[in-house]
Amino acid sequence: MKTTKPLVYGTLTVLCLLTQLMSYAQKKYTISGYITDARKGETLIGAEVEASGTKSQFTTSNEYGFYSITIEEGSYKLTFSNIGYEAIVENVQLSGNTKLDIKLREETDNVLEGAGISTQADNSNITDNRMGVERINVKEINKLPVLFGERDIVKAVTLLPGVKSDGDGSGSFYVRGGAADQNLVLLDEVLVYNPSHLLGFFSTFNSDALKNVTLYKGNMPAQYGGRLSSVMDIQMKDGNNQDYSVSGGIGLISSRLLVEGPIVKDKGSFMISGRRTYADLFLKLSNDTSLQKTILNFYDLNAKASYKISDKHRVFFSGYLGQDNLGIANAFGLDWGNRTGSVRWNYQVNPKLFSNTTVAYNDFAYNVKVDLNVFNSTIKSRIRDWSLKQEFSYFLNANNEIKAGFQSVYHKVNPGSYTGDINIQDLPLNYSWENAVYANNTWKATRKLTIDYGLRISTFTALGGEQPFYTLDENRKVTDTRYYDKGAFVKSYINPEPRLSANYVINPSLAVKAAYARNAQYMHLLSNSAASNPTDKWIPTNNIIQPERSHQVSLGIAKNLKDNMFALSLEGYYKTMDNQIDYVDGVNILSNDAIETQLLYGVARAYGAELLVRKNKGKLTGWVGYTLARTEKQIDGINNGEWYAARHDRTHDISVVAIYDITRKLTLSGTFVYYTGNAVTFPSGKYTIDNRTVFLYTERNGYRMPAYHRMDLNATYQLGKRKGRWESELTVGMFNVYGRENAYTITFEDDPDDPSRTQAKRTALFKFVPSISYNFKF
Amino acid sequence: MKNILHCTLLSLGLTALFSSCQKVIDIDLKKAEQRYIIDALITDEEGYNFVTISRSKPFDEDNSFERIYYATVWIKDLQDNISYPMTIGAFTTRYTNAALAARTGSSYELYVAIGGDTLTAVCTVPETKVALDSIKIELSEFSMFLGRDIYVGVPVYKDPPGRGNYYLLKSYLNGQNTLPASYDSDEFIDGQVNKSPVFFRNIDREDSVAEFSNGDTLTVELFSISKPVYEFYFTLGQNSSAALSNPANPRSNVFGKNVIGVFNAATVSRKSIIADY
Repeated sequence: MKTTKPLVYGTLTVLCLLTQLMSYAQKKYTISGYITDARKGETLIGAEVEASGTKSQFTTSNEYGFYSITIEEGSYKLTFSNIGYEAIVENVQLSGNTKLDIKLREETDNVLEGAGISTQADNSNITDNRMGVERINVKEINKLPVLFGERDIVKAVTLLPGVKSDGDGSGSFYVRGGAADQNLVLLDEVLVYNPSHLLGFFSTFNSDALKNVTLYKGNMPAQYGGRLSSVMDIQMKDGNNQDYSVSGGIGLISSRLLVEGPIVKDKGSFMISGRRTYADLFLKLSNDTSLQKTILNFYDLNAKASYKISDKHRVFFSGYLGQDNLGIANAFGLDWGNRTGSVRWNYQVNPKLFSNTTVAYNDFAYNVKVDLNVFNSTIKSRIRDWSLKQEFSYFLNANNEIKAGFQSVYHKVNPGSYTGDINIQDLPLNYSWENAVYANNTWKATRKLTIDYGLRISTFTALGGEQPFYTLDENRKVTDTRYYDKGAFVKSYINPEPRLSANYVINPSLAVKAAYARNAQYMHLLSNSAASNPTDKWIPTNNIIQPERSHQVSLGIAKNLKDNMFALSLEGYYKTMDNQIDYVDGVNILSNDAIETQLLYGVARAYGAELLVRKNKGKLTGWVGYTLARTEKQIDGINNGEWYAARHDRTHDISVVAIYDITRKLTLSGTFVYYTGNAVTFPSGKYTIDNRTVFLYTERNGYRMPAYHRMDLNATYQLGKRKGRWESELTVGMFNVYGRENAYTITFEDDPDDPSRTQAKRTALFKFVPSISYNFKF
Repeated sequence: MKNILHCTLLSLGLTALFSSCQKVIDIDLKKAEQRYIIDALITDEEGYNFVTISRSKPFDEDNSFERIYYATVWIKDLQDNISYPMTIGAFTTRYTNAALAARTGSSYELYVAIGGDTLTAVCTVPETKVALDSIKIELSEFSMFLGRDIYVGVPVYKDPPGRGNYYLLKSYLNGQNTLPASYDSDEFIDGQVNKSPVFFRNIDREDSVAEFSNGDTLTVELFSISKPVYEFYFTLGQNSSAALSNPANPRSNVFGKNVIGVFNAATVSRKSIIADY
């Protein structure tokens, strides 16, 4: 059964595609080209192209700024537009395939990245054929108030309905009941394993270097896969191919610098962006000895170069390097970092066929160091992927746009190698191979109905090598240990993942949407800590650990009001997940013995409704989001196998975001969030044993943290231009303006002043945290 | 050792950094059904054994826990099928038997009857008895973080080659054992001499930090314990760790209705020194 399923799905997809192919007869020609920013030469993603004439057609540019539209011969008025840019109209007499590159000019071309207010709004949210997608405006995000003034794309995303943060000091995010490891975070098509800095206080991504961010809340198209809950697809800036420019910022805890410019004007560009924090400098001022000796910093570097070899060929080189250092004097150290690199080759085979080939490498590593007289050791752990992805975009005709391709990833996991006093052998390396083929068609069935359908077939193979494969009995005791030759296929899995998304436009301001997606995930993150921790373990699927799988159905409605000034959307979803993994109670995560003996398995379900009201035009813009949701788990061996609330089960989640342009120079912004506290495990009694008071637990996640709420404010002032091209702005902000003491942890202990009593103690992290930063550009 | 590392990193590195904002709060906690709490030890030293039985209580009540003195308790040597009744003597609060001595490699059964409830456990004494060689007094390397000198005792013993040895260490300051026991496995020190310290606590001192003075008598007991007993102490140690998202009850090796507890059949080796640093 398992093997015939993909065949059935595959055949159906091919049949559907063939039907589309049959339906074209008349003489048609293709207009294609790139849409770029006139001043910088950056390609524009998702720019809209509308051809009106004998028949109207509509398309958008792809992630490389390429568009292709095929229409019957005749005369057309082509309108090119993109939010924040002045639209361009071209009249075309179509009598053959036409190449037409378009340069759009920014509406307010003289302000800093931080400003640039959109004065127009469109109804792309209505016509968008996908649902559960958030196209994030990096410029808008940059205006929001943030902790310590560090602009943070992940924090901004958590202000959207259906996306949850983990509270203060966490860089993790949770989408529609999924876990933190179920988000596919891609930076220029390379997977990033640990997208957070400083144990989660900051996101890995320096938003200066980012061009475009798209978040798919579970209904991802077939070209994405490998994670259950979401895709966060991030593109870095290509760099200005017209002129050199430098921008940067000096903040309370970090400074940033970005340099970009042409390699060859109009043909090639580069961008290098760096950020370094110096949070630990402030700790030196502390009068606490242990704080003075604390090392706490990170840096990251984004670099990208692109080159247009000819009209048909372009290459892109992207690199990212991020490193965190945490330690106490020289005695303890924990450092970790992500390194990613990719080379991409765009080949425009013909006006209708666009090809992209990506070769990528990523590397996530952490080292734990102890350097004491009594004990001296270093533990290194590392996970590396090599991947190849080939994708074809075929702009078949006005009504069908097909994407098809394959992806192959080789994983190499080094769980730990030891040096120093620890007298044990290095842990065996783990090898595995993940593959997928996919095809997706965006089919404009009628003028009102668009159906996006596709199929991804993914496979995963645990490979032999140093890695032992265990057999466990019902008490999770190892009964057999086997080794296989290097490269041998020990255990393979195959999962068909059909994807469907449909949009029916009732009128230009009202649409209904529906979607279904099945996803499979083969790499799993095991965590037992309350805070996200770089030493959390990534473990691949093997003979015992099964691939996680999910089904998600969603329904939605989108409505615009007052000439698209207000955009409303309401979406509901229901999701089930199987092969979910959890640790046994009291797990020893530091032990190197077979991890499989410490795992439990079960299922999860999540459902909810998400309401979003956006105001897109005028001096005041922003949104209000509300999510009503439930996320539950059922794991054999936890809570007697009954359903219980997952840690991130949040009944209510409200976020309000407002950006107000008082004058052309002064912008105020504010955010407010409120959400139900996490489900947590608290004691329901106590006892004494071994000279201590011990707490009695009755069930997992049977209690709630107090509700979380917070308001942040921010003001940005353009300092005006000095001579030349110098521009600068000053941003001041306040995080948690009314000083709410949100519980980071609640701990239980003996009262230090009265040992005959016990007490509950709440730790709150940040209140009234001011920030100031100065940004410049020339 | 690695526990210390982990906790230190997380607690010192993070919590201390932002702990400016701590407050004792009221939480409405449920009142769980009462549990029997068993702490039982038998050793290879004749007469050094005890069973204590107490009960759990709601969180918001005080820390005086009810002890049970009316239970029927015996321990049975499963090799020679001899049962030893455990009784409360005139001056003790624990159930003991002066004639009982555990043998290495032998299995023992604990039986407790309280009213209509029966609690049982089986534990095997490890085959190998590891002897404590001496206690070394050292200046703790944590001193530099705490800003003052802290002295610790390092019990010197050599782990026999081959995995599977587990240890429990109890420290006594002038004959008083006031701190929770330390536990260790040989996973990371297989075949090596132990370097991890144990702490001593002078309860008469105000600061209540692990410390001792010159002239104090320091005693360490080293127990070679079985894996289930190690797992009990390991999971007990994690019981209230704030860094964990899923705290849980320790993994008991005593079974029955509403019981949490440990039955530790072990070998013991003891050394004492007079502090002089």
